[in-house]
Amino acid sequence: MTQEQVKVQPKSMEWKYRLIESLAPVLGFLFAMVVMMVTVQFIGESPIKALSAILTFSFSQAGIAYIVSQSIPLIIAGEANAIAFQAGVFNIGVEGQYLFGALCAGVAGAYLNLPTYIHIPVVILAGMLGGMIWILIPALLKIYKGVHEVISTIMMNQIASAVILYLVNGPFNGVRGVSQSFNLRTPYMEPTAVFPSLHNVINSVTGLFGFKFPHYVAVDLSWLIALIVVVVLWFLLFKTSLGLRIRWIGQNISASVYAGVDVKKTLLVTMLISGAIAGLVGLQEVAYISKFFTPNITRGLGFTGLAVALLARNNPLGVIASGLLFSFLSRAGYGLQMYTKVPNSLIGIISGLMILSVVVIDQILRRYARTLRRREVG
Amino acid sequence: MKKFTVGILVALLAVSLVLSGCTQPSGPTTTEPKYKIGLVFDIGGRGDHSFNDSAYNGLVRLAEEFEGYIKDDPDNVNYGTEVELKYLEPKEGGQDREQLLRTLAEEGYDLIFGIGFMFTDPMINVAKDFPDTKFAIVDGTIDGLDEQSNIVCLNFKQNEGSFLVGAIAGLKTQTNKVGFVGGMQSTLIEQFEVGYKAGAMYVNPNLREAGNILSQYIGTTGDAFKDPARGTEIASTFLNQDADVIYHASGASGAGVFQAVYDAFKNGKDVWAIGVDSDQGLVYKSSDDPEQQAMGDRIMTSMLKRVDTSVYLTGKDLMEGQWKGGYRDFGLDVDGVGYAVNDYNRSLIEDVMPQVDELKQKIINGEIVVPTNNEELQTFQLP
Amino acid sequence: MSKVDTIKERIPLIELKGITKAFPGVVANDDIHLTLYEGEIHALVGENGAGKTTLMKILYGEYRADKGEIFVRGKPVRITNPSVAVALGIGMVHQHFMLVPGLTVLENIILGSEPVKNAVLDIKSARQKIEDIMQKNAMPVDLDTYVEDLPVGLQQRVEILKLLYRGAETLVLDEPTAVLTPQETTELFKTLKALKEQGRGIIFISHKLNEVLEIADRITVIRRGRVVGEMPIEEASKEKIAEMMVGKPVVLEVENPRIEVGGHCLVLKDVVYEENGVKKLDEISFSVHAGEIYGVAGVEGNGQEELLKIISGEIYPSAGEIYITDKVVNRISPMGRRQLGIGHIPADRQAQGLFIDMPLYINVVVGWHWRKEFQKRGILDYKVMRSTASTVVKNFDVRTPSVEVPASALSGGNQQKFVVGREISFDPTLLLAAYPTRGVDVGATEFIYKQLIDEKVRGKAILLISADLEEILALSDRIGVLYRGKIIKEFRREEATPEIIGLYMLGVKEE
Repeated sequence: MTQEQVKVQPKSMEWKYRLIESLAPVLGFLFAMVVMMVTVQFIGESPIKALSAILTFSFSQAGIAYIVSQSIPLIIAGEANAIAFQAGVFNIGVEGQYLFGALCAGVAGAYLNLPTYIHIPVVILAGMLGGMIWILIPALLKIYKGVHEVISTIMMNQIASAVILYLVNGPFNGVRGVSQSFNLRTPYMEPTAVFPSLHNVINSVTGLFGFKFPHYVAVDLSWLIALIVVVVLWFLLFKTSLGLRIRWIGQNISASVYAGVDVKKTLLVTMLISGAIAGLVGLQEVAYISKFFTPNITRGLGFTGLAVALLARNNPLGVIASGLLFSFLSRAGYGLQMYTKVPNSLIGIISGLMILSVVVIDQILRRYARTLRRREVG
Repeated sequence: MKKFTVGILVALLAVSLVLSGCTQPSGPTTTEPKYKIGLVFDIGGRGDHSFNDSAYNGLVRLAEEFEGYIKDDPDNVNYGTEVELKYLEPKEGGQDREQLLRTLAEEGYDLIFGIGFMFTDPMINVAKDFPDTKFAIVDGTIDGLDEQSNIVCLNFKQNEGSFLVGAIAGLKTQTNKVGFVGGMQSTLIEQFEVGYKAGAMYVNPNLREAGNILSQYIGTTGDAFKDPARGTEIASTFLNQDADVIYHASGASGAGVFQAVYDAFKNGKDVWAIGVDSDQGLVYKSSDDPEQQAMGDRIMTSMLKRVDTSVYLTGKDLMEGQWKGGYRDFGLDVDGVGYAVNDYNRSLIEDVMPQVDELKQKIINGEIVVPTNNEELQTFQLP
Repeated sequence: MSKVDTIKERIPLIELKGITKAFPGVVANDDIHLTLYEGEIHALVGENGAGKTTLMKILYGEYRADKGEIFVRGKPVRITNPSVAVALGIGMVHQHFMLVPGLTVLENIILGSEPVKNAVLDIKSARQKIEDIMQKNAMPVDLDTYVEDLPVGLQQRVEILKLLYRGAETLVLDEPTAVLTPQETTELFKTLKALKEQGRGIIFISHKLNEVLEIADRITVIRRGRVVGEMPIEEASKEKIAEMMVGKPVVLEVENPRIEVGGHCLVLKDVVYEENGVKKLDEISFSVHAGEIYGVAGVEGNGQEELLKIISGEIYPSAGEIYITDKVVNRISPMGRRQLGIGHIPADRQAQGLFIDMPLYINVVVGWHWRKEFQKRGILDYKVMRSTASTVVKNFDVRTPSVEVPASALSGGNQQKFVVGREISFDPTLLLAAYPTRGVDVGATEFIYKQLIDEKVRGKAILLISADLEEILALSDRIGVLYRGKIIKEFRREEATPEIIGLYMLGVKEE
């Protein structure tokens, strides 16, 4: 063989590996449906009925609207995890960061008196700031003391739960003296701070395809926020020098040091960005749906965000699809409850199994593709 | 990769084939029911031995008397096809209450119950969008309603019921020390506390001395209603301080109180618990688990908050054309509250029942005005 | 000659016949025949990427051959996975050890084949068995030490013990000396000879010709997936093997003209570096001028790592001064120093020099991403990056399908050519070259030598750090010997001989 022959090689089987990788989530989804049907069969309910319940319930007008709307916090939580993962940081603390961020946003919305065009940005910034404050301690501990972020962020989650409870019971209590409401919460936000609805804008677009979002589904400023987060993160990671450095430290710290990257600074910046995004997760609920902060705010989005990011391979664009999928899985649970006699306690387990199946099948197939690729390289 | 794809597709196919083979037609109701009544439980759902179970019993009573059936019910409650009854449960955390109410409304249910005060805001939002659908909130208060509203607030005079069980505790205590474990700190649970204290003090002068009625709350969020561990902890402290009757108003956390009492009993103490909302002693005694049955033996009685009565009466009103929006309080007069007497505890409290029923009559007559909060308790007229 | 004849009459321990294995785009093994007899060390030599490792992975069951047969003691076998290989008495020591650092030596050895007596782990008999093996082969290790506390040489010994414990008759060692010090290499060779005496067969993969000539009984040379020659050691010579490997005669004596030197590019003045109270660098002083290569010779672990880090800026000196082109840089960050014009060929290209899963057009800016041509206001210019990568690939003969493939898709030698090419391309005034040809085949080595010398002639200052004395002697204009954190002696190239430098390296002679 001459040198020329070596250079002119067929393009290899790269397309095949790409195909496997892109099919992985789809196959994972199909597998999840199988798992769901088998489980339902064990319970003694008809799997076909369950499947059709899920599908009709999810792909009705309200179903689609809910899935899209409720994917927004999942997407934002996914992005917060994704950027951290890109830098090799396991931010389990998204949970605590969004709780605290949501509290800050709720407080900024209720206690400040500003014109709308300033108040809303202030609420958003307060959420981001809250998330950043909550990741700052783990970030500094990691950078200067080598404390692993998994441990410190988990602890910060616990602290967040306690702190918000204290703050809402104490200084920021909005129900003291109001006898009729028992829901512990901050005061209602000022009307100037409440997120505007985007129904008209969105519906004027989707209306062209004959689809309207019902008014009771949250179509609000948080959609735009999520979109901006996605685009900005994608641009940051793949188009900028900072993004390149973030991805470098995620891949190989010692090579990054060799390349002259200030690893500590880059880690700090990345973690702060992750925290800031995490602080936006609860805004849809606080600034649009409830219009106040309560410790009873939806929990667990941070952890679901981990799975969302994992499935999206930490790609900011992929997080959209992955967030929609997880939102669908959650909607599927309601379908089961509404139209089948699967007990509610089992629906939680089935949802969990479906999520697990999607992620596991996806990971198995991706590893399989990676092995094939390695083998090709020799 | 081919293997994977083919494998999954084959699995899908096989599963759907096999399963479609054994799908029985699940008794489709060919005739449309006249009324459809939906209900969303509070967190915890069925099997909480308390609040939600009581609501479920209301549905069963409606099915019985109006020839209806409960849809997708594991117990197959089915007396006919006149009324369709359906219940849903929120997720842990319960942020989906609104979504569940809305789902039922969209499915065309005529009357939709929300069990628990946490439904306040969700119900306001959904009721606005479905003006032709009726809504009822149990234990919640929504401002600004009138008879024309499509919402009714169903409340209980829990202070009256608590007064009666407080009297039982005051009469039965040997140590002259009793306890109260509350769930989430709120004005609602305060009514239980205050009524109980008033009843106990009314019948037992020893309990009027400070420090002889122990009282503590589990927490400040909805989670306080499902924290049995904390319930055990608090009840044990009380028992160690020689309290021998403990009343709880803490939802599912009460299981922990019963556990603590049962454990103390096994250690040779003659101590008792008082349940709340539904007849918890009976529920425990009906269990298959001998341990639970033994626990049921230590439940002296329960303060009955007749959620079942409220659900039943409200459903009945609707179907008899008597629906009214606004507010409705169920007191001792309509048996909206009470105390539990069953085959197991009858012999135990029989000796004090005449006295307690006398008190009940006095309350109905207005001779005793049971306080509703701590301030009123201060000025409560003791004999 | 008679020795060879007697061997041939016996049934070979291992026989590979017509092994062919193709990966998309590359035929890694093409009709390879190889025989290994009892009591023989058979060296498998070839350039990086010639197909040695692939062949051994087929033998060990990690890959399946497309064609060909394997015989063990004359019987055809199908080796579908490594446990089959182990059952057939074949054991392999990988380049990267497969040990669990947090377990003791004993635990590591028995891991995976734990002796069980009455359902209980029988540590006692295992220990006895291992001690017997150590005794017999004169390869002692403290069985209760944790593997992470052992030096590399002993870790390798543990790997071999593990194979012997499982009854391996055939041992495959993949570049075993790449990670060893000269002393450790000597120890390893003693062990291998002892194993050979017991009748075991050893396949020894290497491209260090000196070692091959020292240890092997027979040599098989592979080039581009094919066997190009097999010979008994008596017929082999360094030149002959080298020629077979690269397919053309190698000029092992490189043309290295001395040119007139310019000013100081790098000056170290009494530089001390202390870590936990230990002086890793002890009052080091030397300077490198434009137009010269300054070689630092020394046994590894005498401060080379710290010296590199202190010049590149990863660590700061405890005392003394470092000047780069007359500027004190003691407290300047690595980035700041790179901006002063330092190029840096790192000691470990895979762990440091490249992001192995990223494409070449990204790897081409590693360490140079700050340069203006690659970004405008913080936004990367991929077009320029791609064209720069293509230029490096072309100018430095990097064999790759395109600049889009990840660095991991390149063979070791091509990765190193890429790194060297990158560091030279940006026209640094000072080039740090650490072990620039480690693990690189003869052809690529020659190419890299030529590049370094060309740079010197162009007036660059080059600091060369290497463990390979021949390399130091071939390239350097001046040589400093690093011993226990000190430059204990400086030579001009003309004054130096391997023997005298060796004495200083071992600390036998001191100034």
